[in-house]
Amino acid sequence: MAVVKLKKIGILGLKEKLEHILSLLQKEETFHIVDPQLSEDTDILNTFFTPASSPRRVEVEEALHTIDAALKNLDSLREERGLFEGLLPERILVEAEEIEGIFEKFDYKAVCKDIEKTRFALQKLEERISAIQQEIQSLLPFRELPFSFNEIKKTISLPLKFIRVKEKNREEWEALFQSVPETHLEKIGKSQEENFYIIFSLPSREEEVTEIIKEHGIEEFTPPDLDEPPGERIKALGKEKESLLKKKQEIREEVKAYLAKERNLKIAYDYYYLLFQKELAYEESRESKCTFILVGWVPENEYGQLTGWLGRNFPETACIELPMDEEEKVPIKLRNHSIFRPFETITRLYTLPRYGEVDPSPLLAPFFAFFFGLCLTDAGYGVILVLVSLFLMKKLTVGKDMLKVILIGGITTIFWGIITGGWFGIEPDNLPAFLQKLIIFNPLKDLMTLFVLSLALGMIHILFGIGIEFYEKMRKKMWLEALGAELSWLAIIPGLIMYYLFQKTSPLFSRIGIYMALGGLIISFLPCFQKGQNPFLKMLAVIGGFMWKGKDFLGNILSYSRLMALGLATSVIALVVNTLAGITSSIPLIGIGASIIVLIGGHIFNLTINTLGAFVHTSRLQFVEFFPYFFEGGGKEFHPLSREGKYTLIITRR
Amino acid sequence: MLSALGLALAIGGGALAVALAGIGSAIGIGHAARSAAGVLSEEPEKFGSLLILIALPGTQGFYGFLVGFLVLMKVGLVSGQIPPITVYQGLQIFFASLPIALAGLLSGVHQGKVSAAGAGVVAKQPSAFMKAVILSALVETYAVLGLLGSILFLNGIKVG
Repeated sequence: MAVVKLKKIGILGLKEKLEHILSLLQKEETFHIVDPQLSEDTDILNTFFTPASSPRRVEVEEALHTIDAALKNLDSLREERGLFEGLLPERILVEAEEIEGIFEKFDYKAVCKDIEKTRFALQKLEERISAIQQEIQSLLPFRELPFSFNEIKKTISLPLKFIRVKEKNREEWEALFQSVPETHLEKIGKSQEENFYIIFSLPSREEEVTEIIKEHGIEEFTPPDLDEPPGERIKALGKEKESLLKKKQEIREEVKAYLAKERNLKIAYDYYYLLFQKELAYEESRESKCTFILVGWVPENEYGQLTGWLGRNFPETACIELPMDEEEKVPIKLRNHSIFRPFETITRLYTLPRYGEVDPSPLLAPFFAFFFGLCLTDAGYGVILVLVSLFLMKKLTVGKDMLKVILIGGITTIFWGIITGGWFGIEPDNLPAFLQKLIIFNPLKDLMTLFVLSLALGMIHILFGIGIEFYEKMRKKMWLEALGAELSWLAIIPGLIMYYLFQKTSPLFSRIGIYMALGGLIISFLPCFQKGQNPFLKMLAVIGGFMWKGKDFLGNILSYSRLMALGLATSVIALVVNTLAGITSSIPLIGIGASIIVLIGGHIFNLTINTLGAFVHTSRLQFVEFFPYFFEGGGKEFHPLSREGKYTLIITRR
Repeated sequence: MLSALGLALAIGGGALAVALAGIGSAIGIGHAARSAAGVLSEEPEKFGSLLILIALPGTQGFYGFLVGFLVLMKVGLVSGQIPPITVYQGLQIFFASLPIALAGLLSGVHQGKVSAAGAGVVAKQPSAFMKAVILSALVETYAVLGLLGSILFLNGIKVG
């Protein structure tokens, strides 16, 4: 249980077999390949072996790039996405044979090219449509003009000016131009805010007109180059637009056909993705003229199996166990009983343990589960959580571990809900009799019980953390440290609690408690007797550390009061929802309907926000309060050469 | 007359809890949502994670509302049977409401800022999303303590 022991091994074999060996390793998914890091003392190896370069890498990368681009194009072609679509990660479930045989019936290159073409065509269409719309907009003011602009320009041989004038000072401008003799001002168009004019005058007056335009900052415009009257042009454009829109619809239909091929495209992507992983592994190996070396990690319990089939299939291959450096970063693989496995996700949220450290997943599991439940404390909500997580576990292909955590949390929520009488915020007095009998205390009336319970759970959590560290130090034979820093506290705190608890009832136990606490205090000075250190300085360090730890301990335990606060928040908000529903039900006519909406909406809302809160704060209690007592972390994940794709999940039939 | 002043003081406390904590949440969500919108414009598929980060500073508003409701229950406005409340009792309830009002106001704003930074984390390192959530929750601790303080104080006050 916990962190899996690994072996570092080197595989030495014939170069021509490397590709095949890698394929088998990829299927077995037990070998984490690393760079061989041939150091100075392996000089000989360095002269013979050079980094291998994979023969197919360029080709594979090209294919990946093509399919990726096609998938992105397809995504941009998809018309509309639901708000929550793509929120939950989904994988395509396939059998290994389907990936391997994907190209027998599916020509990805042709499909990719078609998708690219379609996207290009659609883009062109859209550009043209928006250009038409713009042109129509610009012609709209002149739609009543009975002749074309080019006609005007051809017919009138006098100097012409086209101007646009804001509606609000129209009369003023008109008067200005009309005051110039031998000049004509003709209105040719009108939009909501502007008027468009054409001005022509005798050549001798042209300068005068130009002067007025300049002086008053009047805007001129270039008439569109049109041989037909604007009205007709608008009509023609409208027709073109209509036919383009129809075409667009047709292309949309085509896209639907491509979307049906998305699954195959994704499988094809993973085909190359898996190949790419293999090529990367290839490049981690070293090669000489005819041989190769591959170095990596394998779980101890799978080592025999690995060497077994290597020897059977490739008798000329040698498998050597390599020495492990003290400082070496061994990859981390966690293995736990199936009940605890979901809680590995919680550990991963923080960080993986280092090699040789304990795996905190099974240790935090019971605390996480019960704290989560205490933050909700409503059996009704617990039932909903259980049902929802079971449903999603059936529906989804990934993220099941997280759902299992919620499922277990849902069960503990039911437990806390039953003993505190929390059922959708219904007053305990109104519950059925058999449920009332199960109630141990009502947190809304008995706040102090809940408060003490929260802190007591916190104290157990922290003492457990100290206990783990004690065990770890004993295992590493750091006797004095373990006794002084950990066992002392394990005696002092329970001792003091015993002293206070039994002060009135049992003087004997009370006295035992006081002795325990004193004993703990004494052994906390044990580290002063470590060899090779100035005992006086050491004593100062011990006293300082002792006080610091005491302060930490107090603060940490108080932090568990959040369990109470969050639990209360859930129950009181549920109560508020019920009260509000009660108030709305008295509204005439719509009362019942409205109160049902308030009830359902309110409880769903309360459940969602408090489940999030419960998860986050329970995680925090593990990371900030529990872990510092024994856990550091910082390991890197064991990542074997595997068949884990980007879009697919292979159904194994082992 | 004095009983009415007592009731008014109590309601003042409840109202402050609802209003100040609500303001804190509103400002906090404002900070977080603005940053998230920036990420969203580039990567709309991260809506789910971002929504959680945005929602986090929203809890203060609820804590405030919750205390406001507890005050209402205490002074009997929910049931409609209002016991006589002295000025001192009114003041007690008023002060008991302050922890969540003030802690909610300030922690909401700051949690919003941490969540906004978290949106940046989600943009660059989607896998570190939960860590950003935890960081944001570190700030919320003090709103939780404020809520707890208000509940405990209110619980200790005897009315009627």
